Amino acid sequence: MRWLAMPTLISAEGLYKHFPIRGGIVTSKPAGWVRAVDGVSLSVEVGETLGLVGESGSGKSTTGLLLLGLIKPSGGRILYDGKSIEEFLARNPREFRRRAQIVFQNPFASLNPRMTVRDIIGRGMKLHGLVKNDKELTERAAAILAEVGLREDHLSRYPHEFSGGQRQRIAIARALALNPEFIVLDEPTSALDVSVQAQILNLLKDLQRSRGLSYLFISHNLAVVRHISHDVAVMYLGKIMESSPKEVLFSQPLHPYTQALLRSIPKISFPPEDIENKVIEGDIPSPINPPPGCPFNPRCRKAIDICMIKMPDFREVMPGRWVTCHLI
Amino acid sequence: MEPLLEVKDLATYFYTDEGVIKALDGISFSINEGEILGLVGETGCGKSVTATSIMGLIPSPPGKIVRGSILFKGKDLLSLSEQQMRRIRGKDIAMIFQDPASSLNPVLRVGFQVAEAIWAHLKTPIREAMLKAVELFGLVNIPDPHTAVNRYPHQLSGGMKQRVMIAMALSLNPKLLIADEPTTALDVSIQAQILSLIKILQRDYGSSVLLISHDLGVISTMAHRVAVMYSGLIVEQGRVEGLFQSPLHPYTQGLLAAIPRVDEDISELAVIEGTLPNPINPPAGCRFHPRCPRAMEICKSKRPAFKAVKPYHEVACHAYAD
Repeated sequence: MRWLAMPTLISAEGLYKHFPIRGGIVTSKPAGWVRAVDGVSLSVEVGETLGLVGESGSGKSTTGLLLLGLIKPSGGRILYDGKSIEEFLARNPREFRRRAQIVFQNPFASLNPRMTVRDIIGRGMKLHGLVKNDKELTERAAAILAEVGLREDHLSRYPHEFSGGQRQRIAIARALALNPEFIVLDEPTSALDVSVQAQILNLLKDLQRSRGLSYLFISHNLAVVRHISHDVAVMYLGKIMESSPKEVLFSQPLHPYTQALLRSIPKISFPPEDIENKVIEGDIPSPINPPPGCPFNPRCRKAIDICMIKMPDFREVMPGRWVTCHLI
Repeated sequence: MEPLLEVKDLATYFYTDEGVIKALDGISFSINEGEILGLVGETGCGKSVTATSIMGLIPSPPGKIVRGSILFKGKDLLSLSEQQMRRIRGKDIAMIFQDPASSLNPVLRVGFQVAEAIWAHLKTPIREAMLKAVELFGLVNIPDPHTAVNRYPHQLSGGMKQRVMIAMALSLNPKLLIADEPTTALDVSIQAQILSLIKILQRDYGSSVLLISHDLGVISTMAHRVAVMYSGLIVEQGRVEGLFQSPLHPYTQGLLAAIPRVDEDISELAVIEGTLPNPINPPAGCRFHPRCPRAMEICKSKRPAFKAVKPYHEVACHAYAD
């Protein structure tokens, strides 16, 4: 429970990212557009976690990359600490890169196998001039390793010597090395076993408390998102269908998609639930050619005529609760 | 009632340059007719090796089933020749895998792949088998089955490909279906569709299912009984309700406490300390003892035997010795 509203660290308004589909060899005109992110508005508060959930192809990861300024939006704007990130990046790109970091899903791919742990963690510090000499670099790297639950003697080892969970700790240490304020965590526990996942989730929570970090936590796993987030946004085909404080989103979901999604997850409960009653019919449509109107309408049990014609607005229906649906 | 499948003291080793990996080191379980048995555990615990051992698909070398028996309808599958095994595989025991994309041939139309399986086992003329494929596609809820049979795997979504695999598994009306992480590669909204199909298959066709998953929610919703694996051994098994509501083995307890829940707030997730043991040189005694909060002196030297602590609920743990 939060007693005070925290100030906003990063926010996006009407964010779009459309990727061109290359046409033939002769023409350079795109054959179509993948509407990966299609009008997303969200905000991440200081010291809090926004959970971004959705199924594959919903635009979660693209949203994360946009917020970090790693790809350019096709439209919309992003404010970081009250300033437009476009300006921020133009004026002081290093400073922005230091303050906003990312941890990827697969720690087997995101760590350079030819670098020692010390170099992986220390490289950013060196490039940003945060350390004066090699001795200081080693000291700082060792301190950060301790913070993520690894030992000083791990510094001289290579990534292949570590398990998946330990590697993810190294990836987190690398992000922390630059003293960031904001970290995009893109499915950070999806490649890990449940017992290891718990360790990493606890670590992330501890680090948030001790360093006052803000997270954008991207995941397809609603249980994990419930555990780690303060606010949650549910994406479907490039759009945010519902966003609200965690407590109410899980106890009283408003959007038919959120409701169906929560129902469709097999839970540990007795007597066991009837899986046949939990099914969302149909497939996720292609983001190249989304259905007209609300993107969820072909699968929505409650769809009415207007849902097939007009895209509903993303609006605040109750304090703090935003929904994209004609029915609410 | 005699079980449909009875695995006794099965041990499968892999002989590698680094040493002998004891992937399975003496596991025993059975599946009754029309029953779904869930097999849970983390990476490397031997879930998939169990499935491939039953199917007779352990690559040899380096793999070898070194002891035990796999009785299917009373007959030991390990005593069959490769030719006899081929007749059983697909027809009596079918299997679906985690990644449907790598189980389908990318250059053949999916309908033909299903028809081919029917032809190979029943010698049904291929034209007739194709009609049967259309019927099966309808049964597994593939929209517009007449068109769908003529598609290639890349033209179908992951969920649709998994349906094709299930249609293929269904085509010969197998007694036992082995589903190895059948929904792990799929989105949640598609997962429920596939699970519900497997449930229908079991209920309407009376097939037994060995459902392998790391997702305890999936097991809880689907299975009648569950076996928990750790480092090549089954550490606990029993009816789903009993096992999930009052788990006995410290590993099962730790696992259940470590999962975030979608229907419940948990302030702090419990952590199982340590890491999974090295399969080449697993700890002596109980393999879980280095991570176990309740480990005693005896756990370090003696492997615990299976013991029925409650009706239909067995555990291999010294903490429950009399």
